[in-house]
Amino acid sequence: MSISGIMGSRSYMLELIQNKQDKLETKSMQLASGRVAETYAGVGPQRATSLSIRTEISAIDSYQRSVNLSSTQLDAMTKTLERMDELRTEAVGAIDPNTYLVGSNGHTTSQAAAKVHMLEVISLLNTDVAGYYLFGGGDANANPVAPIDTILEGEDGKMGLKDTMAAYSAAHLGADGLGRLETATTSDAVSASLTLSEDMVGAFGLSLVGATTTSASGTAVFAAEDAVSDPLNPVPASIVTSLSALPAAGDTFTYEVALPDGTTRSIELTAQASEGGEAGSFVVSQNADPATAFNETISAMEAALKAELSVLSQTELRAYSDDVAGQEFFGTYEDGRIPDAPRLPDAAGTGYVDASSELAQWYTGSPDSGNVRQEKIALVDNGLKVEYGASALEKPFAELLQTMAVYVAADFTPTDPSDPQSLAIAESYYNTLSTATDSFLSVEGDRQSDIQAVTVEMSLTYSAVMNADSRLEQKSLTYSNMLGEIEGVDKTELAAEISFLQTNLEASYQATSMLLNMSIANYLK
Amino acid sequence: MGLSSALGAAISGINLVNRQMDVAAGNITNADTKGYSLKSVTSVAVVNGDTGATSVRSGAVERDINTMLRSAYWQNLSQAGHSAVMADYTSRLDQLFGQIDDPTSLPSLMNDLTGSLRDLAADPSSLAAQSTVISHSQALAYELNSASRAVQDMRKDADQQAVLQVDALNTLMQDIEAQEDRILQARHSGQSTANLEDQMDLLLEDLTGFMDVNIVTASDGGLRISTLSGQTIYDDKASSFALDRTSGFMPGSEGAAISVTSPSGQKSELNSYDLSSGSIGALMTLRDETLPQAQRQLDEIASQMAMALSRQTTGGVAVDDGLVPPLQTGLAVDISLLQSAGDRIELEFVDSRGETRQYSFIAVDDPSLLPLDSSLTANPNDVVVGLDMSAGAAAMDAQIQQALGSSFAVSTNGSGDLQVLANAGGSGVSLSKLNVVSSMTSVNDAGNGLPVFVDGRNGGQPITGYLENGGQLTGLSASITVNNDLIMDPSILSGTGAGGAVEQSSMRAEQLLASLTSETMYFSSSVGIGTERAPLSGTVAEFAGELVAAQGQQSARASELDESAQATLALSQKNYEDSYAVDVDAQLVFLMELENSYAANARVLDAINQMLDDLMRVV
Repeated sequence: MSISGIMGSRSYMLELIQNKQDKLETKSMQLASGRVAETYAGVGPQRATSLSIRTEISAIDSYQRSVNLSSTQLDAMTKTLERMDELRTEAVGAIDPNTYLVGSNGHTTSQAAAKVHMLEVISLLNTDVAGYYLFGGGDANANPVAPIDTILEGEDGKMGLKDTMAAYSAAHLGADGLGRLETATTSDAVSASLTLSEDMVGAFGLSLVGATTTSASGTAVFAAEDAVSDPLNPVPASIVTSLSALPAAGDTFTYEVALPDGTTRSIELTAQASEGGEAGSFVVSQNADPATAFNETISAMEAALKAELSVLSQTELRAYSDDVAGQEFFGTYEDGRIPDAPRLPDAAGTGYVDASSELAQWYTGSPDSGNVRQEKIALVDNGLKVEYGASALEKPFAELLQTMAVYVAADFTPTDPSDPQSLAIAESYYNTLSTATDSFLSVEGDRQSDIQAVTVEMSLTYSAVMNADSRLEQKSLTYSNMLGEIEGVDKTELAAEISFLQTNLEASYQATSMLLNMSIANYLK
Repeated sequence: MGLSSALGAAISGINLVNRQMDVAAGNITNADTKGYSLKSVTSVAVVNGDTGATSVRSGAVERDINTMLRSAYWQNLSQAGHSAVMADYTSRLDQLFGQIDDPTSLPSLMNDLTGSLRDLAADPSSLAAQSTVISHSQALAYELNSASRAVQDMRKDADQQAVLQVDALNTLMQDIEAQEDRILQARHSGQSTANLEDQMDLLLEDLTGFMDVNIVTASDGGLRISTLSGQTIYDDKASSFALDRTSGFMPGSEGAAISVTSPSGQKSELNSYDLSSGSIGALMTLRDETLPQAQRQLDEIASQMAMALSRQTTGGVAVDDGLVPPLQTGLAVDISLLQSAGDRIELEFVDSRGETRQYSFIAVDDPSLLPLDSSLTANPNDVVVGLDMSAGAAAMDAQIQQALGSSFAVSTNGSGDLQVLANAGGSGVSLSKLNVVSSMTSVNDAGNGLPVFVDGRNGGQPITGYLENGGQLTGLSASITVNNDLIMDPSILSGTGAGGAVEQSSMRAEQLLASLTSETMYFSSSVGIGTERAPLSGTVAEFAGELVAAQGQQSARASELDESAQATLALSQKNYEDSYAVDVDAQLVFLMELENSYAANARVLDAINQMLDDLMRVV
C-alpha cells in the first residue's frame, strides 16, 4: 500500500481514524447520559412516538394530581355520608315518642338528643377538604350551612325556623286554636242547631268534608264551599247539625274534617245522659224547659266539638304546620313551584306572600344550578370525567336537617303546666311530632335511605377514581419503559461496543504508526 | 560521428539529469505541500540530421492532473460545503426546538399548560391553580417569543455569513484573474506554468467550496467559469458579486439577493439553481427557506393555539320561508357575532349531486384584499371567499349571495340574523351548516372560551387572524403575550359567564383544555408538514410535538446528507490526491536512478576525456 495518503496534508486514513474517535466519543457520551442523543434528531424515526409518549406521561402526571385531590375529597365525602346516615338512625333511637319528659330548660330529653345530632349533621355538611366545601355546591368559600342558632332563631331581623313555625301555626290554628273553624248555635223551644264552618276559603286550617249522625232526632248537613255563585264573596264550607228533638243517649254525630294535606279525621260526638263521659261526649240536658234543654244541649255539644277541634288542631294540625314551615324554611317544598321561592302566610291568613327576603338563610354555599353533581369535576383519565359535586341543598340532606331542626325547634311545653288538659295536649303534640319525625327518619325494611343512595353514588365515583389511579400507574410504567427503549441505550451493549472500538482504534494507531515509519529513506545509506 | 558528438550527448544527458534532480528534489520537498502536484521533466531524444549525432533534450516541467477526478472532487466539495452548513444550522434549530427533557421546549411547555388546566378543572377556585395556568401560559408565550427571536437571529447570522463569503468570493475571483494573467505571461515567455497552475487549482478549489460552478478551459487556453444555470461569471475578466447586508430581520421580511455584475457592467441575480450547492447557496437557502419555515411553524402554533382558546362557534338555527308547508328551508345565524377581521362564516351544503361542499367566508376590513385564494385556509376542501365587512350587513348578504349563486336566497331576517335558504325540493340543494366562527376579543365576552393570549404589536390587540397588513399570522410568535386582563385577575379563568363573575367553576378550564387537546384542526402546509391537499390535522398539543419531530427529522436528514457528502468528498479527495500526489519512495528510487545515470554520463565524459588525452599524446 502506498503511504503517500498518510503523508499528505489532507489524508483519508486520518479521517477514518478521526471518525472512529468521534464514534467512541459519542458512545462514551451515551454511556454517561444513558440516552441515545441529546436532541430528537438523534433519536431516530421513533422521535414522534417518543414525543407523544412524553405528552402522555405528562398528561398522566396531571391526571394523577387530579386523582389525588379528588380521591381525598371523595374519601372524606363517603365517610361523611356514612356518618350522616348513622346519625339518622341514631336520631330515630333517641327520639322516643312515648317518653314525654320536659327538662328545666323547656326541652324534652329527645329534643336535647336531637339537637346534638343536628349539630353534628351541620358540622358534617360544613366539612371542607383543602379549602373545598364538600356540600357547598361548586364553589363555597365558607361554611355552606349556617350555625344552629341562626337556623332556629334567625338573625339580622330575618326569621328563623321557630318564627316560621310560629307564623304557620298561627295561620293554621287560627286565633282561637280551632284550626280556622268557627261554631255557632241557635236554639228555641222546639229545635236547636250547631253550625260548624270554615272561617274562609283557603289553604289554612282544617277543612270540612262531611258529617253523619246516628240520631233520629237530628240531621247533619254538609254544604261544600260555594265559590261559583258569587265569586267575589265565596261561601266557605259548613256543616249544620239540626236537632228537632233532644238526642237520645248514645246518639253519635260524626264530623269529617280534613287536615291541609288532605288526610281526614273523624270527630265523633256522643250524646250521654249524665256527666263524666270521655272526651267527645256531651250531656243531653234534662232541663224541663224545652228551650233551656235545647240550649244547654246544643251548647254542650258545641263545647265538646270545640274541645275536640282544639286537640286536633294543637296536635296533628300543628305537627303538619310545623312540617310545612320546615319545608318552606329549608326550601324542600314541592318541585316546580312558580316562582320558586319560599312563602309565608299573609297577615290575614288567607294567602301567601313571598318570603325570600324574610327568612334567614340556612344555606350559604353555591346556589342550586339544577345538577349539582356537575359542579365539581375532576379529569382523571383521557375522556374520563368524574362528577362529585354535592350541596346541602340536595333533598336528602336538607330534609334530614329539616326534620331534625323542626323537632328541635318545636315547643312541647304545655301552655299551663298545672292544667291536665293542657298537659295532655302538649304530650299528644309531642307524641305526634315524635312519631312523625321518627317515621320520616326511619327507612322501611331493606330499603335504602336517600342519604345511602347518595353514598352509593359517591362510592361508585370513588371507586372509578381509584380504578383510574391504578390504570394510570400501570400506563405510566408502560410508557416510561417504552420511552426508555426509544431514548435510552443498552449499557451492556454499549460497553461492549466501546471496548470493541477501543481495541480497533488502538490497532489502527499501531498500523498507522508502522506505515509511517516505513519509508525508503530509512534504508538508503 | 565523433567524439564531439559523444561529448554533446553526454553533456545533454548530464543537463537532463540536473533538471530531473532539480524537479525530484522539488517534488520531495513539496511532498506535503497542499495542492502540490507531481512534476516531471520529459526527455526527448534528438538526432542531428546532418551529422547523425544523437543527444537528449530536456522538455518542459510538466504536471500530471486527472481532470475528471478533479472536477468530481470540486463538485463534491460544493455539495459538502452546502451540506455542512445545512447540517450545522438545522442542528442548531434542533437544539432550539427539540432538546430531550428540556423543560422549556415547546412540547414540554404545552404539556405543562394542559396539565395545569386539568389541575384547574379539579380545583377551579384555587388561586394557586389559576396562577399556575397563567405562569405556564406566560412561559409558553415567552418561549415562542424567544424561539422566534432565535430563528431571526439565525437568519441574520446566515445573512452575515453569506455577505462575508460573497466578499471572500470576490477576492477569490480577483485572485483567479491575477493568477491567470501570471500563467499567460509565463506561457508567453516560455516558462513552465506547472506551479502556477497548481496554485490556480487551489484557488478554484476554494471557489467551488463557495458555490458549484462549471470550469472549462477554452481552446485558446483561457479559463471560463459559469454558474450551474449557465451564467458566465469569469471569462478573462472576473464578474463581481454583491450581497447587501439586510438590516433588521423580521418574520416575513425578505433578505437581499446576490447580484452579479459582469465586467461589461451588466447586472443580474443568481437564481436558486445557481445556489443549490456550495456554502453560499446553503446560507441563502437557510436564510430564505429553512429558517422562515421554522418561523412559520412558530407563528402557526402561536396563532392556532391563541385562536383555539378564544374561539366561539355559533351554530345556525333552522328556519324556513314561512309557507305551509315550507318551500325553502335553511339556517339563520346571528351575524353580529362577526366582529373582527379574520372571523369567518362556515357554510356547508349538499349539492344536487349529493356532494358536500364547504365555503369559508372570511371577514376583511380592507376590500382591496379581495378576492381571497382558497389556499388561505388549511382546510383543503373549502372554497374561501372574502367578505368585506366595511359595507355593513346588507352588503355582506349580497356578497354571500353572489358567491353562492342563485340556488340560495340570502337575506337578513326579521330578527336581524343572516338567513340562507335553499329549495331542497326544487334544486336538490340543502344547507347543512351555517356557523359563525369568531374570536373573543375581550375576557368579558360571553362564552367559555377565553382570549388567554393577545398580540403585543400595536400596543396589544386581540388575536383574530386578520389578513390586513400582511396578516396577523406573520410574526405572531414574536409578539404573542398573555392577556394582561388575566394577569390582573386570574380568577377569570374559572369564572362562569362574562367577565368572570364571582362564582367559580370548572367549565372554562374544561373548555380551554378541550380546545388544546381534543379539538382537531387543519394546520397550514406552509410549515413544511403535510401538503396542501392533505394537510396535517390534529390538536394544537399534537402539533407542538409534530413540529419538534419535524425539526428533529430535518436535522437528522441534513446530518445524514452531510455525513454521506463528507464521506463522498473524502473518497474523491483521496482519489484525486492519489492521482497527483508525490510518492516520496518513488522519488527516492528515481533519485538513485538519476545518480546512476549521472555517473554513467560522467563516465562517458571521462572516457571521452581519456580518449582525447590519448589523442593529444599521439599528436
